[in-house]
Amino acid sequence: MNKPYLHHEIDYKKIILDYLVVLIPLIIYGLYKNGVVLYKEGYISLIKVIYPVLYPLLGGLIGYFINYIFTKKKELNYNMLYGIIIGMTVSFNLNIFIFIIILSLILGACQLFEIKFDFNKMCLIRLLTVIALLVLNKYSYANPLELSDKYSYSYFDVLFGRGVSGICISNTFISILAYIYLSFNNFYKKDIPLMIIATYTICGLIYFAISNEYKPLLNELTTGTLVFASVFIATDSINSPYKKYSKILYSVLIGLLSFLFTRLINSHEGIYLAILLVSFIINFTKINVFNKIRQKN
Amino acid sequence: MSSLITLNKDYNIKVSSNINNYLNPDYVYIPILKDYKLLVKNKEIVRKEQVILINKENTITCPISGVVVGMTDCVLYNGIKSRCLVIENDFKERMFKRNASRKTLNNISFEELLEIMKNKHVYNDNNESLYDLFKEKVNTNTLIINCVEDEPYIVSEEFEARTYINEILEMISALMGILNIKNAKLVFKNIDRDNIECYNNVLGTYPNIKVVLVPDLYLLGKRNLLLKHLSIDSNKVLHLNIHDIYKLYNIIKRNRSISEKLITVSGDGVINPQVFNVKIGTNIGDLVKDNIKLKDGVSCISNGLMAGTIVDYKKLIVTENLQGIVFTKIKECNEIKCIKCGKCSEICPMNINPEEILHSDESKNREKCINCGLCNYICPSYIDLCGKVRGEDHE
Ligand code: SF4
Ligand code: SF4
Repeated sequence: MNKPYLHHEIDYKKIILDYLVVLIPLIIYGLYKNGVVLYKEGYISLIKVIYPVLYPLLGGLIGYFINYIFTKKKELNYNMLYGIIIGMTVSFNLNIFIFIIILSLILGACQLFEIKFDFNKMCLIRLLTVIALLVLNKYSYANPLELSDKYSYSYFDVLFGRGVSGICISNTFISILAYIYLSFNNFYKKDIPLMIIATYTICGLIYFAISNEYKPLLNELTTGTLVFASVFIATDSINSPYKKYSKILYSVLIGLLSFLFTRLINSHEGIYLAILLVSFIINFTKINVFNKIRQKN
Repeated sequence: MSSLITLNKDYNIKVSSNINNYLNPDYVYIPILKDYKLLVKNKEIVRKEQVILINKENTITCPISGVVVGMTDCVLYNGIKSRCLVIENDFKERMFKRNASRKTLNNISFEELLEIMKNKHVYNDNNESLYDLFKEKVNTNTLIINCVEDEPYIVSEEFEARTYINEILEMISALMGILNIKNAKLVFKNIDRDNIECYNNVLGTYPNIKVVLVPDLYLLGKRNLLLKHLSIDSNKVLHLNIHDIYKLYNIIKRNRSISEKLITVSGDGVINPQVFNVKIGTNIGDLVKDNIKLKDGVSCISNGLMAGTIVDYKKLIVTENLQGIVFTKIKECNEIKCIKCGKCSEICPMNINPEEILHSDESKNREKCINCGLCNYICPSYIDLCGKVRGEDHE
């Protein structure tokens, strides 16, 4: 251990553990919604019930082993956390082998080349899974029950997880509880999700004021994707800024761009694309700034 | 500036309330520092307080009487190896004839004080000449005496404050008279109950000396941060540590140089943590062997867990800068890539951004670093920021 020989009670393992603790209820809800319910209604076989757990579990294991291969350390690590989070956000219709291949390739490549130019890997991996779905003509986030249009849900139901979203992230209420829990950890950048959602809401209020029809906005705010991505993905410590004004800029940009991309593409991909793009911009400008400082010296 | 923090320490580690004397070591070891001239030869008989090393600004005296028996390599408080003069103790404490102690401190003039400071080359704990400091600070409003110990588990100054309470109050009162200072404030941590009680019991006879309590925040032992915390303008006060006051008492009243020192030996690796009164030059290995029960697999850190250094205690010797040693099991922690949490820049009391310094060659901010260790303490990725900021690791 480096000097000093005393450490604050929070270290990276504790930060990762905190994330894992709050992700578990979301995974359990995913298991219920996209596993147990579908099985009971006769849409899937018994073996497929575990799929909502399998994606994050495999994601975590792949991340863990990639980290182990490159560092020889058996411990909680960020690759493992990324694997779990990505596994929770993918579509119900994604083939598990495609998921494994894309995740292993990207996480492995990032470790192998120790990429100096960082970006939000979770969003990139997700984007590749989306491309795979499009290529295979399976692009949809709805499970068979949702596709059947058997039930209609109120916004309240959607808030509590009945909406169409990634395999384990539809329950906005649990994501909000997770956010509250994480906010007690001083190392969590708690202002980022708030600013993203506030910007998104303001954009929505202005945009929909023209038609005086706010249902799409309410839908986007409650379905899960926006809140989950703001709470867990946009706050990825490594690829988000920590200085006050940079954080404001980062969050407002993500809020604005995700609203724009949602209108241009759809609500499932908007925020992920926005985070990926902004994390690229941030890292690019940072490298330039440092280069300038170096040149000056 | 960042706000100061309370450290994550174990409040159950308590040091025995008695001071143990370890004043008769068989040998003492005096480091022969750079630029110092050695004034004694091998086999020469030396007396207590005899000047044995000298340079332009300072002299080093012998803490015991005995015989010079050679030289050996020892380790100093900062982990640096040093060649040391070995003196065998004859246990007679023989001294040259010297001026007797003063009966009182009240009749010393300002000029006389300055002369003593100049002739005896007296420096405070911050390594500033007290001659310069007194000359500059005469007629200031307030004298601040800092009794705050920053390092967890090290309590030498707290013990010094209550063991020599009468001497300390006498010296403070005399200094106030000589320097024409109206008020004095003794600053203690609010958890230092023993000292608060001791001083409150006797301060009735010193109406111009007050006790000020501060919270248990790391770095309030540092002058600038304490004054900032107390919202006091540093130009209007004279700031001294409790150890400086006791040193002045010995030099001015007793006409003696410091030959003994209080040292804390504690930490979760020690079964019986204690404070010892030891001779300067004592080998810590001897002290530990005779008095301390250690747990298995512990390492020794000199001068505390925050700003201290791992040392081989068997070779460590007591010098004026050594406050104590802490024994603890060092945890193996893996350094990972920076996760950009920004806590290091938030916590740095000198407004340095260690994370940015990692990527730049900038040297201006590096010089501001006070080696407090807070950035390393807070960094969740276990990066040695402190070492990197100070250039120990910088290419
Ligand atoms: S060790 Fe230096 S850089 Fe680190 S917190 Fe202390 S003053 Fe700042
Ligand atoms: S505290 Fe450590 S992990 Fe956080 S920004 Fe500073 S160097 Fe990076």
